[in-house]
Amino acid sequence: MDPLTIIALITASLTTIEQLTAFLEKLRATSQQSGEWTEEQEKAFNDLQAQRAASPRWQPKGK
Amino acid sequence: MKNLILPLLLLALAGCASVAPNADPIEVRAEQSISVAADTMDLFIALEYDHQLLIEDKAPEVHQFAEWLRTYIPYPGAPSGQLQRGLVFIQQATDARRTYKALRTIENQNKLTAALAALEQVLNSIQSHLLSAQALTKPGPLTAPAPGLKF
Repeated sequence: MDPLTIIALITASLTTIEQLTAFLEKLRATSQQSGEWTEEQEKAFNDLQAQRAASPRWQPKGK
Repeated sequence: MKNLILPLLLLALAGCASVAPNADPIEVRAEQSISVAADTMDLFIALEYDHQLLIEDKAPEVHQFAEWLRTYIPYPGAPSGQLQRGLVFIQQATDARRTYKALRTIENQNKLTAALAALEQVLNSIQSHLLSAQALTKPGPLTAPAPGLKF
């Protein structure tokens, strides 16, 4: 394994940990939900999905 | 990573807080399922995007699956009439949930159940590919370099 691959793997691991931490925090919050979403929560979910749809990571390669 | 993610997901679902007396459990659990599915899908897409070269090289099937989720397909509810396939699955479940919330009939409940089942199938595939993607980025091999490793 060449040094550049090792550096790439270390970088990848660090960003993955950050992503996983954020994901698990949201998962914990969701698991604590007991009531139905309010209008604000509905809107927040809609907005989040719209942001995701427009984000570069969600665009097909070559589009 | 497989040892981390799946038990946590199960724990999260099993450990869900009880539903408030004035809330509909079907609605609450649907909201939770859709929210977790949307977050899981986005995590997978983000992971694949951030490490695309590595994943494309070492696990091309994971990249192809991510591209399948990203592909635009017709969706009448979107302003352009199209939406990424993965997001359509989320949106269809959301649409069914809203229909059920507006009119809580057995028929609408069945439609919601069907939409959630379709979403669950996609989620199962995502989790499988997510584990493959995470296996490429975990630091394990770095702690035990192969003999003869040269710098």
